[in-house]
Amino acid sequence: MIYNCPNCMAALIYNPQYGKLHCLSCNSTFETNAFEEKEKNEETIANRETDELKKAGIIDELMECNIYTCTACNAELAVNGVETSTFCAYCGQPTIVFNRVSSTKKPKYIIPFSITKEQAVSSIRNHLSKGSFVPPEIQNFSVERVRGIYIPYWLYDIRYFDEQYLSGEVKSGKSTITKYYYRSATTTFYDVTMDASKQLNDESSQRLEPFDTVAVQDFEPSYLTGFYADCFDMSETEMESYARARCMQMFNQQIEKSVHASNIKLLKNAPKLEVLKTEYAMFPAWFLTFRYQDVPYTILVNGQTGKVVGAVPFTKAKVSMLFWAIGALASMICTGLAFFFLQAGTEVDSDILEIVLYGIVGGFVMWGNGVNKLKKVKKSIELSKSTKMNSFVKDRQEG
Amino acid sequence: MFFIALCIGCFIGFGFAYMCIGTFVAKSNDKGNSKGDFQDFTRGSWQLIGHRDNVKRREF
Repeated sequence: MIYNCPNCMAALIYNPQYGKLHCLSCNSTFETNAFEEKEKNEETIANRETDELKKAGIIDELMECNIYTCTACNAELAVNGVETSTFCAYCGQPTIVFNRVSSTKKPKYIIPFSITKEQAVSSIRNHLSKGSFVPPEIQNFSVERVRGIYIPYWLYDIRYFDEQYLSGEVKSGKSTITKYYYRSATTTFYDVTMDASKQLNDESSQRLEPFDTVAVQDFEPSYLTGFYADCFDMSETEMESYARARCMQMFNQQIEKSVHASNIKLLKNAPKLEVLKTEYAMFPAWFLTFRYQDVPYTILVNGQTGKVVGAVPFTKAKVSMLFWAIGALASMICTGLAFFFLQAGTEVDSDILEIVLYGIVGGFVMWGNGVNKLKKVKKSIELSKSTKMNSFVKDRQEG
Repeated sequence: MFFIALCIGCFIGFGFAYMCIGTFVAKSNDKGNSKGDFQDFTRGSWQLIGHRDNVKRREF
């Protein structure tokens, strides 16, 4: 289904800046619900056709078929199996395959794009240009493709209650003792977002959070014009166990914060979770791909808040130079201090041993901290250049 | 004595340098690596009902 401008008949596109459907040809704007009547008529025709196909017994075959007809130029259009909104590969018109949205489960809510394509690209450029270790080729990247995609999400409201017995270690003089704690608490998680697309990595979609779910709007197909959208391919029951596990993890972390001890362990608990509500929604994200040393990298931008998500490789020469500079300076200072304390503590051997021990432990802790941080960065870089992410963006027709 | 001080100094110094590098690279090259957290989803509905420290092991 395509919405044509009543003035010049050109295709309309949803414009995040105006929050309206926009005609690029004559610059007219229209409310998103202005074409409800047309939509209803189309839906009635589609339902009639579906009924006829059901009678003929060929509906299953057609559901498997991924060839659609562009309503603007009548070309046959190949659409990804789970895609619901796309551009025509031939005439470039924004075409919504409306039947597909209505024949699967229709989303209840949608967060429309409020960040434009230009804003998304400039926000990424801005972030990358500020990075001291970002290679200049990446800072001046040339965009390979940008896609505005509505990601399908399940939203869960979950009431959570738990009684927990925990153990933790506290210092008592020079020794460490184990203490036991009891905590019971309750909370309600609202709109826990779980992406319902198998194709998109969960780690990437969760990094797009938080979305302001208070600002959701009732789903209108007109919001999809000009963007891509996927249908869910993970059902609400499949995702529920992940949502429960996520709530459990967040709840336990919160309980741990109330225990003032180290090495906290959960010994016994009896969690009670009740799923109050599950809703299907579509949330917006921009996917920008560029190449660095012939490898594609995809950076995401939350289409509502503008949060930039992604990691890029760092300049190794700069990093190692800084490492040796900081290392040499800090070593000189620490050697001086250690020499001073060692000389002051020469009378007692145990004091020397304590200084050496503290030095070794301190060095190890800081080294480990650095290793963990760099590991996280490398993991993020892997996510940005993963072939799965690249194909998620690439497997769509050109706009 | 100076040799021991030098060893400790280098150990701490380069450990510190590695930690700094990890922090700087993460800040410079890894954008938006946080996820929606407890505060984002609970909207202030958290209630700590029972709260006891120094519980005896035999109680549970």
